[in-house]
Amino acid sequence: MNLKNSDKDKGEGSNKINNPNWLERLSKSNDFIHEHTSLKDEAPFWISYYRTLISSDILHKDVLPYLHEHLSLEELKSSIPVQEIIFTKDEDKIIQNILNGSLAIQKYQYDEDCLLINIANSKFRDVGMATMESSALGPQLGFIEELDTNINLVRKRLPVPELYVKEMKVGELSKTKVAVLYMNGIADPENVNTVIQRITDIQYDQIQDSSYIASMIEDNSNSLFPQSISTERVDRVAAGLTEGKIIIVVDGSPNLVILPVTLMESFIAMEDYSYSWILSNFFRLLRLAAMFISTMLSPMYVAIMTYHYELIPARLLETLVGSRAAVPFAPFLETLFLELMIEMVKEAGIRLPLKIGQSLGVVGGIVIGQAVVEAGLTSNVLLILVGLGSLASYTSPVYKFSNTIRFIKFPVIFLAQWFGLLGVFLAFLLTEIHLLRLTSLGRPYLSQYPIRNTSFQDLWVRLPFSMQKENPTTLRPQKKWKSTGKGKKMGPANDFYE
Amino acid sequence: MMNRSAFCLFLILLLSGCNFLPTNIVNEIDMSQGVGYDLSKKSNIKGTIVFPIFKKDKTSTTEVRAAIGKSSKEIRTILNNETRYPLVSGQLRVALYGKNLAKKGINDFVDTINRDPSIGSLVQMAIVDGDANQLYKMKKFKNDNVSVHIQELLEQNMKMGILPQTNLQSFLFQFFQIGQDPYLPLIKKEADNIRITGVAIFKDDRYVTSIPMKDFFIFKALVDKNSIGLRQFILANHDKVVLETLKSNAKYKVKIANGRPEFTITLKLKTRLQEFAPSEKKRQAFDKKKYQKQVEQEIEKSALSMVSQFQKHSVDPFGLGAKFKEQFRGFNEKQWNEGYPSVKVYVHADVEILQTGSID
Repeated sequence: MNLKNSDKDKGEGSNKINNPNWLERLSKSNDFIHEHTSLKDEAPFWISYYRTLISSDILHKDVLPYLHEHLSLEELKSSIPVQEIIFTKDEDKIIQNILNGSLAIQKYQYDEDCLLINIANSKFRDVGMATMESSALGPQLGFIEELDTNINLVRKRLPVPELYVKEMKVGELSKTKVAVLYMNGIADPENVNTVIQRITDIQYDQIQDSSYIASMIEDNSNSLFPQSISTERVDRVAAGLTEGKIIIVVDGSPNLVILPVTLMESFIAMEDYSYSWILSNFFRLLRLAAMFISTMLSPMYVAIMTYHYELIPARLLETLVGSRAAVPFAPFLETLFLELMIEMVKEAGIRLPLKIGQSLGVVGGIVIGQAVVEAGLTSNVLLILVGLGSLASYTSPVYKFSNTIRFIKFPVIFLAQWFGLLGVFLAFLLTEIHLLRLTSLGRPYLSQYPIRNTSFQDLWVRLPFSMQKENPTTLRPQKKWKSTGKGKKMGPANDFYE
Repeated sequence: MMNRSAFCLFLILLLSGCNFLPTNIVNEIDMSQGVGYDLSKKSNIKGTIVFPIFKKDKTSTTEVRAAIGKSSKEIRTILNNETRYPLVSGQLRVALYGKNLAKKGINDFVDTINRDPSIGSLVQMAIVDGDANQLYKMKKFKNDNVSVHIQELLEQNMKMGILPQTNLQSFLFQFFQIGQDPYLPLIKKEADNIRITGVAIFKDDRYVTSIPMKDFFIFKALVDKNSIGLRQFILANHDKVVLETLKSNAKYKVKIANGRPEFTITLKLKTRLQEFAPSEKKRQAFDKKKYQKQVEQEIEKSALSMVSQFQKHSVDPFGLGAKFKEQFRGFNEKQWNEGYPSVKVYVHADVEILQTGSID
């Protein structure tokens, strides 16, 4: 019979009497199903799958109807209307595919030949708004947890064959799909190779998020500063690609990783490009100033109130000293107390469910703050400073970076207590030294030194589009010019007037 | 091992909240904002220190404490025995010296202010016609900050009025400059008020003479760059002209003949007419050229009389000696001091009335 024939043909050199190895391994789980398509023995097919992984809809509508006929596996392959069908007898491949939601079809229970039909249940949330990096203007689209959809979103924005996707599997247990995206002909091949090399070198059981990969491959994992940007904004990713940046997409993570980046990019919102260049410069510098306010304001308060009373202007003296007159703690303890309280309110606000979190802000911010001042535990000037500082820490459009700012003021407060303004300056100096040494994929992170022309086209400041002509040179892009005008002056399109 | 000890040190610092430097926590110090020095009996000095006391949700009150001693820091040590918190001087705004003390020399009490690094150089200084202690103790200022009041009184007059610019920095500069003598504002307690009454002119650090209010305008124009101020000129036939300076520039020229200098001071004033009252009470247009000429003469006259007053007391607030020294290599301080009273000084005023207001 057909059945016997095939068994004999393919049986060469393998153990044909026992169950195939994979069947034994997989059937230990209760949600694994291995069954005959009919009660009668002469029915042709055995199917096996994980009940929890497949879409029963597709199984019943598109696959099962074909399994009543006596067809060979090849015939079956060509007739079943499912896109991804593989014919194989490689055990590893079979296991892998079944685990990813494939249905295995065998002619005979112990047959080695196997037809794998991908009927995975791929129900993910719909593509929606970017919630963490929202903006008033500009595209609202955000990535979701599925790799293919994410790549699809990027490809829609950059429909060119030069957009290369390199896929890998990372994680001994999680087998997470990781894709590296880059523009061939723009991105520096050295950067690309470094990223791919570092990702393939990862040996770890599980990858749950793109941040795992980002922190595993960053240049200095002891730094407070994230040397890559995690973003859920499609426009940010697409813009980065065209400049020669490399994107890492991880299956199951709505955040894509952009590499290499500079510090200043954490102050750039995609919304900046929706405004006139003058406005966007204002916002960019405002965010930069906000970082200094957030990290320096309360340490300055500690330093001045503890050591440098001479610096207080005569007219401010009464306000500052009067507000502190009844406070029983040293300025340091007072500040630490209030800062920790605010951080707790923020942390609780993030952890709590949305509805409770909203009311918490009011309770924490106003009620506790007011009560603390009334009780005379802190001065109300400090309450203003701390409130302003914590507000300023959230102006950075990159969430990871704003958390860095949130943290960084604490060591500065300690230094301010130990050394006064000297300590504040010391903190600034040490941070600056650290940032100057820091690299992202071997490229300077601070982008302050060496000074590059392109840093003043679209990094520290944003010039009008007609003057942003070069791709950032720190990335060593293979394509130098952004505009087709090359080195020439790019005025308004001339043919319009002709 | 190294790491562990470093970590231990860090922990110790962290847990103790340790300070490496002596602290001056703002509400645990008494910040003196004004000091005053008066001559007391037996060549002792009566020092006064004024500091505010701040209370939560209340207006601050001013504490005035005085003690008698030989030096400024001794006085502070004595006063420290009666204050709640240690006295510090970093917030010093104004230093006053009694006239009697100033006549004997104030250098010892300026030196301590100069030497203390926590005191800035913008501290205002003034000579009190009377007693500095009495001035600070005025009842009116019990709930007001008297030191800041005096500081702002002086500063607004220097900025907008006709008082020449002075402070600790300018005093020290003029004091240490060879061929120049310092000057400071002279203030007085009048009834219930503190008034500026003149400019005290020093010989070295000793108060010698003063110039009255009506000469401020010319004095300021001669010593300050771009001084602005208002002055009323009553001219030959009792025409009254009030001019406000918009821009001023005084140039000192030295001509050396036989080793003896001659000075020509060219004072250029660009002014605006503020008030004009002709003696003949009838409507007439303002004759700019005529009055410019008359005002120039008036200025030259009073400037010359001022210079001769200085020469009589052999004080040199204009720094003529310093200007001479700049030009003449063989400058000899002794010789200059001897020759100063008889040095020839010419004043040439150049007044231009740029704006006459919206009438003409």
